[in-house]
Amino acid sequence: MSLVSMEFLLFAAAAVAGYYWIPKRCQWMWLLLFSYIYYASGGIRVTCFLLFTTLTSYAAGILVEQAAEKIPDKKKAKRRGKQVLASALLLNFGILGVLKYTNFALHTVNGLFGTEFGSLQFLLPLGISFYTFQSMGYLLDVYWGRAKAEHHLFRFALFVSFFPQILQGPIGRFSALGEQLYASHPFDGKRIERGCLRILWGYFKKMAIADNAVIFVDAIFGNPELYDGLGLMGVLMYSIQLYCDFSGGMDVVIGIGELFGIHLDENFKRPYFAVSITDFWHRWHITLGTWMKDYVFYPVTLSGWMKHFSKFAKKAFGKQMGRTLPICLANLIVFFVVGVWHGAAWKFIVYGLYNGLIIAFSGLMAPAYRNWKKALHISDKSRAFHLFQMARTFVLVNISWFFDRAEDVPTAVLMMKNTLRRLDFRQVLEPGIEIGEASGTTFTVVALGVILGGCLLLFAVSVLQEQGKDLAEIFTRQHWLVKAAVYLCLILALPVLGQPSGESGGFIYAQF
Amino acid sequence: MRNFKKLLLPAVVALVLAAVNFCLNYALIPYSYVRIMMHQIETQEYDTLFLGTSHGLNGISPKIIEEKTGGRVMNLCLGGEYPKDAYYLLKQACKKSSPKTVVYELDPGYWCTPEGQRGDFNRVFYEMPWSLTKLEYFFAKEWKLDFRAALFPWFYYRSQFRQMEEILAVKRGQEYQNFGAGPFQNEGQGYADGFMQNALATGPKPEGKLELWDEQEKNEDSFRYFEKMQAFCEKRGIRLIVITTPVPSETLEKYAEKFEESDRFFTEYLKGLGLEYWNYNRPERKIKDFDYSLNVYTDYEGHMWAGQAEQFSAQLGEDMIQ
Repeated sequence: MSLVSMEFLLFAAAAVAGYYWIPKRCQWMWLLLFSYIYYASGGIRVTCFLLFTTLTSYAAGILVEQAAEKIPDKKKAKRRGKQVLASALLLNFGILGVLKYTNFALHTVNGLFGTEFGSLQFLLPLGISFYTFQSMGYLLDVYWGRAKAEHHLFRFALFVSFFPQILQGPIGRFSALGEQLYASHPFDGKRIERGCLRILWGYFKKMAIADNAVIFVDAIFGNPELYDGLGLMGVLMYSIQLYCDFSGGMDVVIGIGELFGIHLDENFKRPYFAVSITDFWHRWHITLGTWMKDYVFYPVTLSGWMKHFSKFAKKAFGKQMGRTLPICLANLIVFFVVGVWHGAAWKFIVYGLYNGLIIAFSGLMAPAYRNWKKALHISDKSRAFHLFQMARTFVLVNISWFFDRAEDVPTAVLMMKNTLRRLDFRQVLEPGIEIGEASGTTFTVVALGVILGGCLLLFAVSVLQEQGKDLAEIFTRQHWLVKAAVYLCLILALPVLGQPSGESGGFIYAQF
Repeated sequence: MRNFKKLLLPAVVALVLAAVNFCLNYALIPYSYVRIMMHQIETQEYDTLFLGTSHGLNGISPKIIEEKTGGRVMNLCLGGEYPKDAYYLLKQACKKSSPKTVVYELDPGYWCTPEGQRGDFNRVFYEMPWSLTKLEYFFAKEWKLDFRAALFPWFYYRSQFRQMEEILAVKRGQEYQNFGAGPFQNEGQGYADGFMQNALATGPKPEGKLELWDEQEKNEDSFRYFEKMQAFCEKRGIRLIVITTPVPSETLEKYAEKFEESDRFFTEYLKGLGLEYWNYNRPERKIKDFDYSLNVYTDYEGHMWAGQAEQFSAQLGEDMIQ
């Protein structure tokens, strides 16, 4: 059920209406019912995978907790807990791995050894990456004693399947989401208003900006040799498309959560204002970043073998390196996993490693940077330096987008080369190859204008948010006529400025 | 009072939206022959209905078929009409008519491509009068689509804003009020006598992007709705015939393998359903003295010019009475 479909709109409206109509103690059951209807609308067979993850992580959570509480021998308890945890992780990540990465592995083996293994047809349940990460995060929290195991199966099932977030996140934490899901929520007009505004803003970003940018992105990345002068434009458009598509989807999801009185974690915090790649990952897909930090980075950094490596590095390269090198290595591992999470292709692994390498390199060079800044009298607080850092980060991020969007790594490299060697923006409107002509979109100039206008509006809103202004709160305090005008402008902008959201109506991250 | 104030905001937004929508639907959606078709099936009874795609719209003359078969004939073929649209058109038409025969013009491309979301794809739904059939059609067609398709029908006609004056002039005119076909006459084609009549085009013909049969890409919806159509006809004792119109010999030669594959597949499939399939591209269905050269078609896809359509319709009518 696509977030832009009529079906979803009416489904969400029915869910919200019933939610406030039924007795409050039944609200969570209502949400569970709708969450399963939502998921089952994609097929009964895929729902079995969701059920499997729910049941295994529910049972494992209780067993891990019981092992810690009921087995008096600490060592034995720990071993038992570890066994249960490892089995659950293996089963769930195993399913994810088999369904998502088997064909990639077969192709790689074919490429390396000249074998001829054919592709296998797998059913890929929607949102499997998101709900697997969310439920495994819960299990690890229970194992580490950060959260209590949920003993109510149906309540736990709601945590795993909550319908607004199951397709593209945010990846929720049990500690933050659990209580909210099970609590009763009285009707709050102000919250509904905030939710509606957030949903409309999300649709605006997706339909008016991202879907216009996609015309250019698909044309340029689809024909890199024909549009050899437009590599730069292609990647800039992709950075706009990806941000507006993903963050727009998040706005819709978070807005729907607000309609139920549930606050979902923010996934974006103006990422293109980041001053370094590390900062970028604190602002982009935040819930994946924190998941990786808590469940991959820290366990890797604190593992026994990493301690050995740290000792070795200290001996070999000195105290400073001994501290920095393990962190660099852990970052490389984390971003390798991030790359693999993004998709079953080498380009995604390169994309992840590229990010990891920059962060590792920045970590290694940090003392040198400090010295250079001191020597050049550059203040961290100066506005010019801040802008320079933002621009530098934006360029680095855009380089990574080449890998993310291009067909494969050689195409990404070719496009980067062309970007440096040749720039020719006239190709956009060149007769015969005019962008949009092939897809029947004859409004190239209009689309460019809409993207520009949309980005300016987005920039203004982002600057205000960066300054700490709560625009939704300001909105709810306005006269009703002002509110009506804002709603009308946003609603009408969707058909006036937006492009059709493709036949699948898909958000990019809904395919994970 | 407080409740009233709370409702004021959504009420005003909804009212203004409804008003803007009404105005833009009127000003941007051009008059279409689909309106004439809808009016005709609402007000008249027919013995034979033709359903299908643009090949049928351009290639089947109801007048000629009427002359041959003696009954009243209506051509409801449309460009972009998938079996789903055909099924609901049939249901709508059968509210007034009790046809004895339904002829479905099959273009294999419509059975292996997803429904597009541009131009006229939503036209039948938009022009259909409010009824239970329309509600059913809504759930079948609009339900899974981008919500703007259903909420803002003018969305797909935004590009017409430069023609707004012209559209308004047509809609205020007598032809529109009386369901006339006058506004659809131009140099290249015109809607007359119940089908789209193409002028004989000279010069090079556009090849475009031919949607050829590909069994791997089967559109399950097309099969499902066709089978619903068959069940509907069976229940009402309507004879259902499936045809494929002739394409230029140049196209047939160029894509011989694909055409043969499609013929094999649909012959088998329709035989399984107990239906007749008249594929006019098969050697044994070749029409005597019929010019198959590209000269008498407007494109490689196989849209005929009016004279050719009349000749084909005559043969089709003959075959129907036999």
